[in-house]
Parts: sequence; structure tokens; C-alpha cells
Amino acid sequence: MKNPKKSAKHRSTKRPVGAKGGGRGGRRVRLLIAGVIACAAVVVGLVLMLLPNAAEDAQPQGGAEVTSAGQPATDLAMKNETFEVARQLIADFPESAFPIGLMGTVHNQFGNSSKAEKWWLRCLERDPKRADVYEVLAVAYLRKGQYEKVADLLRKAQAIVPNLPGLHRRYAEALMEMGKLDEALAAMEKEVKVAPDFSDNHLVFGKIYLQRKEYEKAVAAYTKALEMRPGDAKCYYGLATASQRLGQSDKAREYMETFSRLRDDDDRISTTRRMTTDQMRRAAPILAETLLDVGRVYNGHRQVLKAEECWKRAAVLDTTNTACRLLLVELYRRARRRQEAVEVAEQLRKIDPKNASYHQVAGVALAEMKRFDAAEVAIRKAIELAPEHPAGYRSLVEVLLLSNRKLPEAKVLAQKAVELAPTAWHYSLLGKACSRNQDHSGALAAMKRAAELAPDNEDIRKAYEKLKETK
Amino acid sequence: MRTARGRDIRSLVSWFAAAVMACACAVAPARADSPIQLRDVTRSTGITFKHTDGSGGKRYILEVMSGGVALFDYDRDGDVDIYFLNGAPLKGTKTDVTPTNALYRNDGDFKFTDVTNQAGVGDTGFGLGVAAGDYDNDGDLDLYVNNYGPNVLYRNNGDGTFTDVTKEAGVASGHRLGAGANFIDIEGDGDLDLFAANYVAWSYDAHTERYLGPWMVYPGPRDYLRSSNVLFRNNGDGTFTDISEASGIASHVGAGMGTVCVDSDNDGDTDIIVANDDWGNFVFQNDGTGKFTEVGLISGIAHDLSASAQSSMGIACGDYNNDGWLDLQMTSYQTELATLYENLGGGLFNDVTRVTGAGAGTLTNVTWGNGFADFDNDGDRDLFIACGHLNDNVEKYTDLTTYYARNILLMNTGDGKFVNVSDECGDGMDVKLSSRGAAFDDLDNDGDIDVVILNSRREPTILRNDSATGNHWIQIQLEGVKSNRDGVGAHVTVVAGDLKQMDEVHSGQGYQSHFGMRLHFGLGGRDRIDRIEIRWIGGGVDVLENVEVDRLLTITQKKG
Repeated sequence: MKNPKKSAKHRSTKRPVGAKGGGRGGRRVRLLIAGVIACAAVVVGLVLMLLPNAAEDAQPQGGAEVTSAGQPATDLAMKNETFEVARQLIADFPESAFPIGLMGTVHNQFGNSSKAEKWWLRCLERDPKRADVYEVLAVAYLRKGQYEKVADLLRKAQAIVPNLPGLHRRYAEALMEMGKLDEALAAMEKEVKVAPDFSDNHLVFGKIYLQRKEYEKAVAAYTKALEMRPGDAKCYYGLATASQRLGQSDKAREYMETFSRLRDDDDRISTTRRMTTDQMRRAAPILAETLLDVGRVYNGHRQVLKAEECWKRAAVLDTTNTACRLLLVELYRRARRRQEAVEVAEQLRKIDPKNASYHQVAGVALAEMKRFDAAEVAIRKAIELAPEHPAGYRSLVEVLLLSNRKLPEAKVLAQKAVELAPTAWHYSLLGKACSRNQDHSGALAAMKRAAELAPDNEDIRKAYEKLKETK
Repeated sequence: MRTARGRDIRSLVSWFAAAVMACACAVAPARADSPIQLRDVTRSTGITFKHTDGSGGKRYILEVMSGGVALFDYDRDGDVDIYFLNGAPLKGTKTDVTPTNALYRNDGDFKFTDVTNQAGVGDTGFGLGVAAGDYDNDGDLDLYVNNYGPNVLYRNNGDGTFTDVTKEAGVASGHRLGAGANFIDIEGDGDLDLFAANYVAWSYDAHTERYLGPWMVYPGPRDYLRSSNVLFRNNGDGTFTDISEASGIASHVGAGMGTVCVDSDNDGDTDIIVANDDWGNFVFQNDGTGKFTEVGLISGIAHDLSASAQSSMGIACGDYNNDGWLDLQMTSYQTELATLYENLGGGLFNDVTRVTGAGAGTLTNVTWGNGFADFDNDGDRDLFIACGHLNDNVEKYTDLTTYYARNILLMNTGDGKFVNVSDECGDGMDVKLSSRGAAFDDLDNDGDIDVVILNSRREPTILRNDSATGNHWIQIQLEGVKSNRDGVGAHVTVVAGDLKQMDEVHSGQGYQSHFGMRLHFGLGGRDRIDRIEIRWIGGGVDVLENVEVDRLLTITQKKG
């Protein structure tokens, strides 16, 4: 017996166009089919009408799509490499949430926020305690203007890490975007308890008060922000706006003049501001940043060679990337590959010669090679660039003690380090410097203070005990 | 007996029913969730205009600007006609037919006829901004087109034709990259002067190629030197004098786009507002004699709440909170909110975008044409915002936005706030193109405001307002006698019971567009107007009392 379904199908598809069918049932079927076809045509027509964004429509009217010569292949290869590196990390650490989150970040950096969100959510499934992932998700939704979602995600992050600096501020900003100024203000009150000295917090206060038309409070908030970040154009703008509305026209004019001057300076350097808002970046720095993070994971799992490989590649890709170079210096120092540490440290000094910490890093690396003269020069440069920072003094004390020279100066430098940051470490250094200068009472006092500050530090305790015994 | 064949038929019937339902849904009239209903009627209007941006793949910056659209009654037959600006082929672009601007005569019932050639307004320049105004006070509206290259002034001959009088009038303004344009009576002498904004100092030689990763994109305004704007004084004899320097206008350079001339401080003279792309916006404050001081920064309009100079595009002007002061809304670039500035009085404005909800839906879009209009005649002004990215390849490098985008309609809730009702206002808000200029007026004289949108590289969109609210309304056409003929700059206050509204006659507004010379007031359920007060530019106040509603009322300035 024929399968009736098959038979019906066969009839309907094989029937030649225009052929007449027999019987009522056949006519009904044909009518129905005709109706369906008509309907489908309408649907197709509507779809075509509503689909103006076919690819060819989006092209320039008189020409073809244009890309930079030679760029696409390089960029595409690097983009592929970035994804491959992230994929490999997932394969190498299948139980870890971090690589999954990193894949989200990679997607996001290449402009695919939807895929990024999926990966971040998978990361949270694996490790629901990742407050940082809630935060990046919130930032992604912030860029889409989905403020309710932003607020919800930040509340989840706050539940995990209630006092993470910036979380309450971001939450307040989301609330402000929704026009919920009272709630935003309450969130900011929490934020300033966590980070009272961060100028951005007071800028947000200023904006909230401006919108609430509480101009005196706005002036106070912007003034505080300005104290923390002198020369900030936004503070001057806020002060001018609030002062003008308080009827203080002269003050407002002064603030506005300062703002104009600062803004004009900013104008000169921000010639491609619109470009950065388009969220698009070249593949090379994205790959470098990804390698940086991937290297950290390998390093954390004691796969040092793989970490080194990642960071070296990152350094080649991004010739100004200092983060990967700092990590390499640290890796080489730990492995006692001192020559390589010095070479990379020298690169850091060349990339940013005004950064004191790079001179200090180079000095320390040089000292480990016993190149004390060069080390001293490098660290003195660090002190010159950042005279109020204790790190340079501390490193120089260590170099002088290690090279056993200029010991009186080492004591003075150690005192300066203590003055700038009275930590156990610095008191301990001062103790050693005093001891090397035969100042036994000074050494004892300094080491005693170090022991008080770090009662659990075994080395300090032993050094203190030894000093006491050698009365 | 149930048979397999019977089941087949029933199955087909079910399928058919489902398909019919699907079709019905697809062609269903407006979704009825919002009192505002806009229907896309473009295809039945007879309008065949298609915009060109002149592009040939080089990505010249002026391509993205595209242009504006004008709604004005060129033949004084009582209905509003449409003038579309068009681009022109740029270097390297070949076309078979020379593109021109296009004038469509409104034949009523949403039918339009292309009268470009017979009217003689088919300029072939690269059109960017447009304004209509009766500069010779002869009773008909003339037309000024701000181009890349020489601008054009068309004098209306009063018989449905225009004459290009640019040369004798002296308003070509050299060879610059123009933007918005406005007729304005700067000193209240009864004739209309002319303001023309300029974008940046662009030329083929100055063209800069820009790439984002591998993708070639359009350069930004900061890739070029800024431009000054131009002000022409009407000499009263058909000629104009360039007073840009003497008036103080030329002392300031920016990247002008949308413009509006408005009495921003209610001091009786008209100021000039210029939306600058990626620089602080300008407020040229008029001293009443045609001398201007730029006060954008101190007024609070130059920058937004965060002190950022936005990439401002269009300017909507209207009293959104019915407090008697004209507020401003400026559209902007993707990642910036279109920003609403509340007029506090005394020449000061506050960014109230967030507390009013007036930026809803704009963050992920590049926004362009905009306008305040009371679409549901309930006595407060809603906001329409035209959207569309400037890079046609934007989706290749980000999924946060799209080249083609739906436009946005924000309904005023009457308590100083807006809600995004774009999804509930009918198929007119489903159109997804790359929109630029937008204009608003009552095209079928049925008492509600319709919409015309110029879309870059595409056909325009015509939206018929089908809101069936039953609310009352009045439209007011001014006829100046001592003042300029159409009352440009006049301030009109309408009081109906507990509702007091005000508006001003503007020539040129939104994104480089022109519309709304017939002032429109929604009145809600109020069926009588207690008082209409007109404060004419140049002096004099006229008052009408106890006025009937639901009509177009022409008010002629009283003598003496």
C-alpha cells in the first residue's frame, strides 16, 4: 500500500504548473497551496522591504569597501593568534575560570561584546565569586546604556567584595544615569568610606549635586576633587558651573578661564578622540595584552618557560609595553639570569626615562651582577626623579650595604626611607645601616621598632635578638 | 471517516492559518500601546527622491554629514511642501544622472509631486543645510541652501517658481564646507538677515585617510582646522552685507553643524546657537543691535554635565517643561547621550538629560535630526531623534552599534520626564536606515504633527501621525507687518485653562533643516483658548482672547 503522505507530497511537487487537478479535495489543496504561496510572497516582500541593511546597501555608493593596504592580513593573523593563545590556555587549564574570563575579554577587545558576555557568564558559572567579572560585565552593559543590568551586576559584585574601591562609585554612576540621584548619593557615601582620597569620587558627588541644583555642595565637592588632583579641567568646569548658578559671576569667570586654558591644552593632544570611542584597536596591542595575562597564568603554575615565551612575544609585539618587561625582569632575577634581567631593565629605562621605578629596577638588577657603580648611578636617578618616594632610598641603602661602601651615607639614606615610610622593612634597613656604622644603640632602637611593627617577621626578630646579645 | 489525506489538509489549513496570522502581524497597523502612532507611508506618497552622499570609497568627511530637509509652504496654498537636500558626486565618483535637490509639492492627502524643475530649485551643489524665510517681505518664502562650495539663495517669485539670486544678493559665502542655515532678524528692523554655519576647513587636498585596525573609516572633525561662521545683514534692497567680523561672529572657530536662532535669555532679541562637532557649542548672545558675544561656556551649553565637548549634531528647541523658557536638546555621537539642556532663565542652562530620561536609547547611536513636537496633542512636547551611524562598515569592528538604526521617540510624560516609546508607536518607528535631517509639521492639515526624514544614501521616510487621541490643538501662522513677514523670532504664548505654553518662530533648526514656522500647540482636553500673546521681534505685543481650537489661525501683526 502506498504511503498516503508520500503520495500527497509526490503529487503536489510533481504536478506541472497550470495542470488541472481533479476532485474537491484537490481543488481545496491547490487553493490552500496558492494561499500559502501568496502568503509566503507577501512575507518575502515584507522581509525584503524591512531588510534595507543588506551588505551591498552599506557600501559607498560609487566604490568598493576600502581597507588599509597590507593591514588586513597582519591584523587578521594577529587576531587569530590572540584567540588561539586564549583557546590554548583554556585547554591547558580546563578547570580554571580565569582562561574563560580571558576569552571574554579577548572577544570584547575585538568589538564582539555579545560573545564576550557569554564567555564572562560561563566564567561566573565556573567561579561565581569573581567580582571582577561582574564588574567587567557591568562595564559592558554600561556601554550599551542598559543601566538596570549594570546596577544588578554591581550589586552582585558588592555582595562578594563589599569594600572593593570603585564598585560603589560605578553603581552610583549607573543610578545617576537612570536619574536616581538620591540612591546615587547614598552609594557615593559608601564609596568615600572605602576610598576617601580618590578625586573621581568627589567629581561624581559634584555631578550629582549639580543635577540636584545644590550648588554650594557641588562647589565643595569639586573643590575637594581639585585638591586631590590639581589642574584637573573637569573640576574647574564644575566649579564654574556651580558658582555661576550661585550668582558668583566673577569666580565663575575665573574658573571658566582656567578650564578653557586646560581644555585647549587637551584639544591639542586629543586629535583622534573619536577614533578611541569607536572601541576599535589594532590587533597587536590586544595580542600583547592577552599574552601578558596568559603568561601570568603559566607563571602562577610554575610553567616559567611558557610564561617567558609569552612575555617575550608581547614585548616584541608592543615595543612600548612596560608591564611585560617588568615581569620578565622579575622572572630573570628569580632564575638568576642576571644579564638578561639587566638588558630588559635597560629597555624599560629607554621606554620611559622619566619613570623612577624603572631606574630603580635597573639599579637592583645591576647590583645583582655586582656592577655597583652602574647600579648606584641608576638608583640615584630614581631618587632624583621621585625624591618623595622611599623606594629609591631603600634600594640605594641595600646596594651600598651590599657593596660595603659609603656606609655613613647608607645610614642617612635609611633614615630618609624611614622618614618617608616608617615601615618594619625600613626600620630593619636602618638597623643594619647603623650596625654597619658601629652605631649599636641606633641599630638596636631601629630593630626594636621593626620588630614591634612586624612581630611575625622571623628574620627581623632574629636580627633583633642577635643585636641584643652583642651588647 | 478520518483519513490521512484529511489530516494533511487540516495540517495545511493550520499552517495556512498560522501563515495568515504571521502576515497579519507583519502588516498590522500600529501597535496600540502608545497614544502616539506613526505610520510609514513613504511608498504611497509619490516621492521618488533618493539621497546621494557623493561617495566613491575615499571617505571624504562631508559624505557623512549628508544633509537636512525643509518643510515649508512654498506656494502659499495652505499645505506644507518638502525640499530635500542632496549631495553631489565627489572626486572619483561617477554618476549617470546629476543628482539635485528636490522640491515636492504637497497635493494633499499625503500625495506629493516633484516640481523641482518647474520651480527651478534643483541645485546641483553638495547640499548640507537649508532655511526658508521671506527675506524680501513680499509674502512668499525664499530658500537658502548651505553647500560645500558656493551657497545658493533662491528668491520665490510668488508663482511657484524661484530665481537664483545668489550673485546679486552677495550670499554665496565663498567655497566652504557649510552646515546649518537660518534667517534671523538680528536687530529687529523688520527684515531677515542670514546666518550660515560652517563645518571644518575641508578640501580635497586636506583630506585625511583614517583607519581603525584594518578598516578605513571616516576622519573626524579634529583632523581638520576649524571654521568660522558667516552672518549677512539684509540691506533691504535685495542685497546683503557680510558682517561676520563686525558682529563678532567670525571671532570664533568651531565645527558647526545644526543651528537655531532663539531668544535664549528672553531679552527680546534673537541669539544664535551653534552645535559644534567635537568642540564646545556656541551661544552667540545678541545685544539687540546685531553685535554678538559668545557665551557658550558660561551658559552651560558648550559642554555637557561631565565637562565634555560632545560631537553635537542637531539642535531641537522647545519648552519641554512649559516653564516659559525655551530649552535645547543636542544630538551627538555614539557613546554620548543626546543631551537636554534645561533653560534656567538668565541665560543659564543645566544638563538635565539623566534626570529627565531625555537621553534614553541614544547612547549606542549616532544621533542627528531632532525636534520637539507634541505628537499626541496632550499639551507637552515630545522628542523625536533620528539615528544612524556614519561608518557603513561599523558592524565589522563593533557590535555595539549599527549603520542602519531605528529612530527614537521619547514621549513627554507631562511631569518633566521622557519615556522611550519607540517600540510602541507603530511601524513608522520600525524603519531602520541611516537618518540625518528630520523635520516636523502637519502635512495633511489634520491637526497633528507628521515627520519627514532624510536618510543618507537612501529614500526618505515619511511618517503620518495616526494618533487618535481626540485631543484639541491649535496652529498659529504669524503675519508680520512691521516685523518680518512670517514673524521669525516672535514669541507666542498660549493659555488654555491651567495650561500655559510658549514657542517661538524659527527659520532653520534641528539637524541643518527647516520646519515648524506654523507653531503647533496641543491642548489636551481643553476646548477653548483663553489668551494668545504674541511678542513680535523688534517690539510690540498683540493679544487675542477667547479663541476657538482645532484650527490653523493666522494672526496678523496689529499696526500702531
